[in-house]
Amino acid sequence: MRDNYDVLIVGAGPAGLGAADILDGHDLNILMVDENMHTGGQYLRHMPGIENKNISSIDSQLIARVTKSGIDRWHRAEVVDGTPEGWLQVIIPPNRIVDVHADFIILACGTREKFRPFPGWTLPGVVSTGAVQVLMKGNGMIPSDDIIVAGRGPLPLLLASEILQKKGRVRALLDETHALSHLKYLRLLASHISKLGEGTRHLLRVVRGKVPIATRTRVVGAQGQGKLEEVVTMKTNRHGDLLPNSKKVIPASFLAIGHGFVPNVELAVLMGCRVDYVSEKGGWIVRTHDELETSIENIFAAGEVTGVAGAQKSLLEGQIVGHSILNRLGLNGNKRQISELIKTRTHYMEFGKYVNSLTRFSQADIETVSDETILCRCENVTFGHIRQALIDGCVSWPGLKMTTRCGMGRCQGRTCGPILEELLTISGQWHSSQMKPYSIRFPVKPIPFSALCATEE
Amino acid sequence: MNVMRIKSIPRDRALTIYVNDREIEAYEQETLHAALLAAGILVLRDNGNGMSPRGIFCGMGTCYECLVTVNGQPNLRACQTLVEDKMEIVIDAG
Repeated sequence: MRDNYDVLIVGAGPAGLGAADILDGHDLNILMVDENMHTGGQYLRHMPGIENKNISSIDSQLIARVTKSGIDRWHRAEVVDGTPEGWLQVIIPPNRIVDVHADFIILACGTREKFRPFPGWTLPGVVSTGAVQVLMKGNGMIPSDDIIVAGRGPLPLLLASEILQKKGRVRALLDETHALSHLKYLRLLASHISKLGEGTRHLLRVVRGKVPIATRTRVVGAQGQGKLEEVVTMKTNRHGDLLPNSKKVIPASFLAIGHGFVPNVELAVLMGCRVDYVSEKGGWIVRTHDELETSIENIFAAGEVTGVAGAQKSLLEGQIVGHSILNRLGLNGNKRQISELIKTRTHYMEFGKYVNSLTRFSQADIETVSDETILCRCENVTFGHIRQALIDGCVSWPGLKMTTRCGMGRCQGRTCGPILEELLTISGQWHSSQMKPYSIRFPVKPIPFSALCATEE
Repeated sequence: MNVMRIKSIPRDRALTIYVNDREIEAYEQETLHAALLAAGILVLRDNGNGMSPRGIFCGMGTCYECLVTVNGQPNLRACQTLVEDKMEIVIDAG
């Protein structure tokens, strides 16, 4: 196993694939590291060897080109440490930590979902919208014929449509935003005709499938003995305040919920890359220069980590980084093509703004979460615990962590962090000038002690 | 609850896994969390005092809620583990 590469790509989703595709064929030693079993990331998740309609032929050709190229690929491999000098520590099955160095590193770590918690969201049967997609796309399974899809942004509608397409059933589609909130963006959407068409197609399928659709409707509770049996909803006004007497209880065995996306910047932060908090881009993003180099020389970022805007923008950024690195190496990177790609990328970033604005919480959205609601699932820390700590004078992430244990569990603040940050911002406790992401330390992902104790050879 | 392996999608080779000694059918290339769900196993562990049952949540390796013991190795994410024939899984949801 070699431990030195010209280029190391973290993430085998659209951004990583875009970069790999451009860099391939120039006699470079390239390594792709990805935590999933197969190439494609979340967006291009598929069942290998099985013809399926989840991904387009262009995408499957891209995956085929990269998987058949001479690029080394480590799957089920997670980066747990990294230095600005280009050294990464990667844990590979079964529990072995290896050091690997590269002259250029591309951080294409993608995005994850964010969730505004509600009482009962830890019950088995309550899952993320992405989890249902994983079951469908990666396992050919629909988890229930009795599923409620809820949340904000484009994913709930897309998921409901995909379930129907696979001949499954959807009990209800609950959207927290108001139908009118899309109107503000009509002019923007008009320049994204394909996206508008795509959205309309999904909406028509859901309507034709006779799925009850409710807007301005929020899940405020999940109930059941040991697992989900009932979903409690309430209507809101356009500010996000809950309307009294609007409570409804819907029986359901499964609830898929999602409230938008946040970039996975943890590794970048650990390596020392500068990040900025830009809510119209989804939260913390990796700061990049024109050719997508980060604040650290020879470390590049591509895809959702520079701002959430979807798979096409990620693919483009991967390609831009590919050309940038070829240029840097004097290997015939195409400068003109870079400027073309950057222009198209701006177009997609506008679409990202629309998506991120739909999923941004208002003050009432956060303030109406009840005190008994668990915020940190790992450590069972509630909103009430956090609010009390704020009253007691804790205003920083480290302080809240130490007094409440929020964010100290196995997921390392990935689930609660984005919401805690919104809570701090909204409560006026956190001013943009003093905003800092929560501290990231080795290991970025939890590892067993046995991996630390193991010695090589 | 009826979990559906979509019929039109072809499956790999069938295999057997053992969950707390119960025999469960699964298919090669499936992730463990999907196989458990298909067998109707929703509760994978408890997060304190037997009062906080947990199951799959993010489904993609981020939340660490679906931890189970696989072939004696504790705290593996079921969603990031592929099933293997004769795999032994222990779920301690007490």
